[in-house]
Amino acid sequence: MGIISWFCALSTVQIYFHRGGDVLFGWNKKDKSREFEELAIPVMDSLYGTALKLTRDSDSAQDLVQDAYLKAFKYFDTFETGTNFKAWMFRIMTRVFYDAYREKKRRDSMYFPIDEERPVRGYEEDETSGERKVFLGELEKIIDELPPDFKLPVILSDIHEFSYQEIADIIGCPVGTVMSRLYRGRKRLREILTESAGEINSDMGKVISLGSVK
Amino acid sequence: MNCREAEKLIGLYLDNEFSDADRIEIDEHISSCSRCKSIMEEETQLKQAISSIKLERAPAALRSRILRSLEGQKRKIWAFTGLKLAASLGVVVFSIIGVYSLIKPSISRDEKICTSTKNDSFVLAQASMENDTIRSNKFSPKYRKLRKRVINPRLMENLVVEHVRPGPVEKRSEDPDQLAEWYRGKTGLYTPPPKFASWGGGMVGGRLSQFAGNDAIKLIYSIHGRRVTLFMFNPRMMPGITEIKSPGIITKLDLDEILTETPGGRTVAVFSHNGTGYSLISDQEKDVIVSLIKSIASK
Repeated sequence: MGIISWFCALSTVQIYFHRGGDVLFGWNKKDKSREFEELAIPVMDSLYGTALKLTRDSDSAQDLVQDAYLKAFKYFDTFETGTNFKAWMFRIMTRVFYDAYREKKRRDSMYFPIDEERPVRGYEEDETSGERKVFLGELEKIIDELPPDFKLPVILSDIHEFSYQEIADIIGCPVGTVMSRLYRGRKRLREILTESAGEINSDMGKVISLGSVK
Repeated sequence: MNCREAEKLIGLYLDNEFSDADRIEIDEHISSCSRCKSIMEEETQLKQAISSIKLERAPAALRSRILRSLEGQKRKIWAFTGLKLAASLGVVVFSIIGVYSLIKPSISRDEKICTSTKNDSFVLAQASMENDTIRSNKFSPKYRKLRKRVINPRLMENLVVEHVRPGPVEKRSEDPDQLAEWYRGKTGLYTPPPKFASWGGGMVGGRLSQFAGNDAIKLIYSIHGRRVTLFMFNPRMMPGITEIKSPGIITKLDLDEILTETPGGRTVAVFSHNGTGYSLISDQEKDVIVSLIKSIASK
């Protein structure tokens, strides 16, 4: 019994020193959680906006972001300080989304509302001209309708300005796949815009030029 | 570079994922190809348009919801940390008990060892030669307080039964020397029995008996009309037994260790002196028992 007891005691001491004390006693947890909040709260808008594009429903987007935050907090120990935290958070949210996306193939689930209608959103920007609003609204609608595999690289590249390598890390695929999806996604957008321009304005050039109005 | 290649590379060009050398190559192609130039313009405008899309901001409710759920997670972590702390404390306590049990093997284990050999012949006579195996007062007072008491409830109960229902004596004699001679022949124990004469004690008789599951000599005295039972045994069978060297150095701590009162008000004492183990049980006052112990220790 004594030998077993000593073994237990020695193991405890070893584990304690090996993990710097925070495993057993959690002395560093408080600081860690504060650090997490300081890093994570400022990127919430970016994550939510992207989640809304992916899920196309406010409630589902909120659930997705919340799940991503809880998961990120749980695995915050694995985040390497000094690396891109925003990209790390996007990677986690993307994984959570795709896990649910795969699950959806078996049954309709969380992040995919039954009602496929676009969420109603307001434009805060007053300076934007009426025509441009119409164009941007149209463009967003088209982006929303792209499959997630093509939509996400476009949003990450053009809205969040992540590099190809960062996008590859976030999605968990090779850089070549990112290039290919961006190319196909943008090509598809141009095609749809041309088609809708044909229907609405009968002039693709006009729509595209409206897009460039600043 | 042909148009097909150029079209695929326009996106990389606009995303700044190109080296300067590749840029020059694309620039050259576009300057000479109106189709690709038009695609480049469309792509540029599309990229600008997408980048000007304002994503919806997180609702305030989501922010507070996430902060609340993070608080919940933190509480869980602290609770889990508390559990881990308790578990590690448990391990520490367990190891202390383990070390303690290494220092002082428990009585029950010795009883088992002794029981397995109890059918062998009496080994009482060897006791005096094995004083070194007896743990005496060499431990610090703190340690002695921590030590498991030699007189455990089971032993106490056995002693009370033996005392209250003594059974017939094998050798009835009022002469201690006669009794000594009797048991010497049977057990090889040469230690003479205490006389307690100065305390008004009278020997009644003796029989071969058992003490804590081992062979022992049981002697019965009558002191002031009240029965006193004494066991003499080999102290080796009780490794934690307290050795009383001489009556002059019996401390209060020693008495705490060797004396216990039974729930029925009897006093029980277990100790060793000069290589013989003694156990006394009596209805007498505690002071009388202490005097009897001193009387044994003075020999």
